[in-house]
Amino acid sequence: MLANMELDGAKIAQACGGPTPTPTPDTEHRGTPNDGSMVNSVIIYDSTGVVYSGSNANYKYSGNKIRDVLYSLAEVWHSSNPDGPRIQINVISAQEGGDIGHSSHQNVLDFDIRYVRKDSTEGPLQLPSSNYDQTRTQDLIDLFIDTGKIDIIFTCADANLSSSKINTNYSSTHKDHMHIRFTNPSGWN
Amino acid sequence: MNQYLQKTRLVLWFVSVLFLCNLAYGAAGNLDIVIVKESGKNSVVLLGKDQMAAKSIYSATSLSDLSWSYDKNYFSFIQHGDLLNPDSNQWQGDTGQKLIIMDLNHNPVDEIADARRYEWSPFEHKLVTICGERTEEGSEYTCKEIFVYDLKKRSKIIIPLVAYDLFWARHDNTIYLDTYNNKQRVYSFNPVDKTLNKTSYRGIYFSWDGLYYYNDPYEGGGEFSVWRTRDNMRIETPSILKDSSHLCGVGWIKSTHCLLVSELIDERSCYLVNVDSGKMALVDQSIGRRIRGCAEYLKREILGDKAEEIMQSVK
Repeated sequence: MLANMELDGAKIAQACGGPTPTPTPDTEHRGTPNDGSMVNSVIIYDSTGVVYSGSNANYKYSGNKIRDVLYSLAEVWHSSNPDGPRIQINVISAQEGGDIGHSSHQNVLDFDIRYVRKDSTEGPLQLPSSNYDQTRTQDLIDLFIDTGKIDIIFTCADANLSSSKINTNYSSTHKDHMHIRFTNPSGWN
Repeated sequence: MNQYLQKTRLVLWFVSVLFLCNLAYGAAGNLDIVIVKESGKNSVVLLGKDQMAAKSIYSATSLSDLSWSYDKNYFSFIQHGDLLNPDSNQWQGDTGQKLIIMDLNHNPVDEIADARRYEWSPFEHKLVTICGERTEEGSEYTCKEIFVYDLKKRSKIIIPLVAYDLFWARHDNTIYLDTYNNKQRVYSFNPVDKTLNKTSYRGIYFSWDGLYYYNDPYEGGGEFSVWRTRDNMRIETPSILKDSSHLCGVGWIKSTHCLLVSELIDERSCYLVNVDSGKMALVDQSIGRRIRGCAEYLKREILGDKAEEIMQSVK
């Protein structure tokens, strides 16, 4: 019931064009990214500067505080990139978190996000690619990192991105998306 | 003298360029053939005695996972596929993904289409591979088929399972498969009697003698742990290594119980951890850049001239 009330609120706020209000109770992110779950989830709707581009509509759930941060930074992104592309999210998590066939994403802190194309269109991009916009992808991850709420970003060496938060451990993976992990909002001020 | 200095500087320059260019060594630390990135492409190159590139063997947009057969008579690497239609706004899979196997004359002897992960047998000219289609998310590939491939007979034995990572253990000549499913994570496949069994293991990367194993920290998210195989007891490791999100690479030093662990907390560091003693030593961070997931390393080739000294420090 609470989830339904929240969803309606999110739709209304989306229609008004602004970030959705934080519902109560807060989302609980339980366990770890590879063995976890979530209570009181929210849907990440397409909004200013952000779109869910994933093929599975069941994996667009996150937590309320993370959603608010995402919507805020997406508005900043849109103001710098009014002609697009929007931030493209491929996968977040299932409604209650848990195993979705990935090794992580279980406690709903993880977002798979596409790299930015030079031609500003929205769509998949596999690195290395002449259409890869390294500058704007760096801008995008800087936006996330500047929130102070990012734990780690998994990417690949071909992306050539720089930040102390970047882990390029698996050079043959993350060639078509960045994996951005938020810190657990229970520890946010 | 000047000539010597000049040559030394040239070698140092080349070595530093290799590091900057995402150099990948073959498993077991073979330094003769490496993958380098140059002009936006990857090349498999043969290094000369002076560690300079003597010959380009193969080039493609994206290559990785260079590895050797047990006797070093064959080497292999993965050529990554390209998007079918790179300008499309829809995901549409890739084409041209394959495992390429070459002999010591650098001639291709075989290819396996759609191979995503593979491991050589520690005793024979066989390998096990996961084949599938690329996806844009998660494990980044589907598991369409897993099979043991016999290079000599050109035949394959199907392993009837969906899994995303694998390891061919030396101590029991068994293939371990990781499903990434916490309910039943690890299976074992005996390549001799072809039996597939569930196990209670939590990871697949066994030490050379099978006494210990560790879990794969792919995309991290939990604790990095080492277990004692016989009773599945978790071994205490230094606390700095526990958050697997920040691990950049882990690998056993061959014929030891020492792990090389590269981790990233604000800046990259590399440690040598003796699982027997629990002792840890900070080693040159440039070593960390050379570690790739789950490979096994020869101590002298990875730790250099001070290998024995470093190994002693964690005894």
